[in-house]
Amino acid sequence: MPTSHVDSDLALVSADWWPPTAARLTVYLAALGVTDAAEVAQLTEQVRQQVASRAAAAPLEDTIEAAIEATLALLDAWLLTELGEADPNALAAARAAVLSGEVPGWTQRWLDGAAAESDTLAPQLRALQLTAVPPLAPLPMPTSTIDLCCQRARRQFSGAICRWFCQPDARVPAPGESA
Amino acid sequence: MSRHFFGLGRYFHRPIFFLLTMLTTLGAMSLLSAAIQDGGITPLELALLILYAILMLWITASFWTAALGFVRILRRQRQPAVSKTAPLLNDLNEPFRTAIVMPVYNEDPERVFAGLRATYQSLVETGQADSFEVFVLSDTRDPDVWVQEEMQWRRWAREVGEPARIFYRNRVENTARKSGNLAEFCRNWGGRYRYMIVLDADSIMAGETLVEMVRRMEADPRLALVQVPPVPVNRSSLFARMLQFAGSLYGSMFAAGLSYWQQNTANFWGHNAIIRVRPFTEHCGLPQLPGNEPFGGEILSHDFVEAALLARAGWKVQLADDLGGSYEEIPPTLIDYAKRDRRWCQGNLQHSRLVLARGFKGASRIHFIMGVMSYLASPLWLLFLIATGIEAYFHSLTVPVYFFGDNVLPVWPQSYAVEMATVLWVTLTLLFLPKVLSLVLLAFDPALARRFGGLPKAALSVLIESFFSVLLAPVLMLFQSKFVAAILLRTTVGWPTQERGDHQTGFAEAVGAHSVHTLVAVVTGTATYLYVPDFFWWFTPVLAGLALSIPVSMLTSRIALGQWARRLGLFLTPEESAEPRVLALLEQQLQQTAAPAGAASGDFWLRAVVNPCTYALHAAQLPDEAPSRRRRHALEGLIFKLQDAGLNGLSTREKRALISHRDGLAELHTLLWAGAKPPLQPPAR
Repeated sequence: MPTSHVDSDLALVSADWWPPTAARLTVYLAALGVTDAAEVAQLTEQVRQQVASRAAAAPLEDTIEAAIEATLALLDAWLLTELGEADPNALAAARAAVLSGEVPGWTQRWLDGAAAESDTLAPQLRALQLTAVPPLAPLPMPTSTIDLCCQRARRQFSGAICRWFCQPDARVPAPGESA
Repeated sequence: MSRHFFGLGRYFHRPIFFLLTMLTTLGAMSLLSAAIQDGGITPLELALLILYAILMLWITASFWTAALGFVRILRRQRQPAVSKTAPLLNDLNEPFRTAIVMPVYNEDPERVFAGLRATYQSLVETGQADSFEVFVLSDTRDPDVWVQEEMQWRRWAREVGEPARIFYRNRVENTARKSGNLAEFCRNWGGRYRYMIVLDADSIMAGETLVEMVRRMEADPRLALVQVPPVPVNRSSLFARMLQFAGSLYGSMFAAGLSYWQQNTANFWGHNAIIRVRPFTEHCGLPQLPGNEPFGGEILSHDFVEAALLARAGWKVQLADDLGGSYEEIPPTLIDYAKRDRRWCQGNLQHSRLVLARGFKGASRIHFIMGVMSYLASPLWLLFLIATGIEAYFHSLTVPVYFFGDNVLPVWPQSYAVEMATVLWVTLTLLFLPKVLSLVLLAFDPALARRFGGLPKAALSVLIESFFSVLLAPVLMLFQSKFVAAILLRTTVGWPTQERGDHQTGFAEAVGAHSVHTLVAVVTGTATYLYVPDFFWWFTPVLAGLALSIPVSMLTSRIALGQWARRLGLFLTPEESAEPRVLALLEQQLQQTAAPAGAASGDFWLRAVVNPCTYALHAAQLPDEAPSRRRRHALEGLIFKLQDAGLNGLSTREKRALISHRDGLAELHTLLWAGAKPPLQPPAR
């Protein structure tokens, strides 16, 4: 993680509100599955730099919120590096796979960053991606017609009434006229 | 020659059934009309006669269905089917897939997935699971249940592994309820499957049965639907065990009888059936009926209509009464049973509009009429009883005149007691003889009798079950009459969703449901005792059922009583005496799908929002779609509401909306984690 460009902003996040943010971040990282003290410290530092960078660009409304977002962004960035090209569905599936503990030692790998191409986690992550639905195989299903008796009778009746009252000429052709 | 003759026999099945039904009805009618036409017929007597005719037709149709079923099973017992080795499915023709689909709507996910897992495991044990895929078609709206379903699916899909055979989808909008759910599946994935086997949330089917269903469809290319009658199982209360016993013992006879006269125009009961996908999609897209509810709008009981549409298009629809391995679970108490009736009642009454619709086959029209009658019979019985009471009252006012005209000797009033008694006995015979016939079947098949606990215990069970059915019948009559009246008056009765698990009726619940019944019994009993004392004694079976409805409802809901009866060998069913493999698998799977200890019910929605793991799993299931401005605003509004009113301030619908899109979910996740207190402490994994 490059740090030089955020050095000037570090002061921004070194204010009094950082300790509570860091405390919350520790709980959040634990919820993610990162419990090793060294790993927590390393990730907290990375998040702090991210938040500082954001704070430098624009005032932050809530630093804890920014820290949580930064953590997830770091996670996604690492997963994208592991997966190479990945659509949002593959990324979401990979995140689900690591967070559900299906990839042993993933936290260390997250900190270390993606290894060489030969050692990538991509095959493992893709294998863990579950197919919720098979590829679409559409069939047309037109709406059937059910000709109800009452409907038919009503149609015939109203047709007869209409013919009788609205179009009396159509009912009986006048003498000398064709129907 | 004789073979040719027997081949023609199938053309006589339906005429035989209808002839027997009509003749019996006419016979009973002539008896009653002879009894009541004492010096002409009054309008009230005419009404009585018409009501009796309709009700007799209903009873005799049911009786002859059972009686023909009895003969059929007896013949089958004497000519056992030749066993043959069935070919593997994939050897039959070119490879094809069959989908096992289960539409679910806010059902208990543990039970849903345990049932499916058991069915699938049973299929795996046949060695022919490769051509089957399981599809959970969720219409669930409850966000907690939705998240649980996803977790269950994920766990199972992970266990089964590749190639993926377990699928799950949750519909964004549950348009047209269950029929819309199935239609959406067909429209999206129908081209992938040749057949689909439709299961209900409480269905369980044995693997051999599934394979045999497919085999039958393959054997007859004109066959579009095979319905396998489900046998009720797995409940422990006395009420449910009596129903299970009746369903198992008499049900097979009725199914055989139905299959005898329905032939290739049988009915679809909504689940435990196999459907040929292509004709289903071509002919079963259901239209909306013109007009408003309850008789217009969406077709609620879609199954009857789908069977009728398939038959109309020339496809065969059959009832496989000879196939076992098809199970379902039933409501555990009388009140739950009535709740289920409430849901079905409206759909069945709606069919009255379809009876005369153009193009349907005669047998399909009869199915519609039978569906309507299964609920309309209750108010008709009620009217019949009221009319009989009024008639008896008028008779009690009549003073006999012994001397009139030039007669020197007294003219004694003619007695019709014999005719009336005969009418009563004929009616009772038609109602109870099928139960006796089922015992005769057991007498002919000692092995089967043993599975029902032995003939003496089965006979005792029939006796007790008949006693309770006499007590419960008037209660159900009033329940169903109320439902029909409510539907006709376009008011809602407001029953909640169905309770599927075992539970017992408490005093407050029983009083709430049956106090009106008790009151009716007291008022009617007092009135008849004071004004028509002769009628009162005839009326006591009905009055007793209503007067005792509260204790009977509570008593029959007791699980301990049901289990005690089981220990005594009463109401024993073949499934209880020798548990089928698939039901044993269900028990195992229920442990597998049970929620982890400490997981509070109703907290899954929150877990999907705050627990990073559950959040990620749920988000992975959501569609990847660009957020629209309108949706963004709606989600922001909900998030503000959440901030102002707290978690409990959101409705179920709003909670669902918040977790239905990745962007809303992500925002909520971050927001809750940035709150004053962390939402998880210590972390829940």
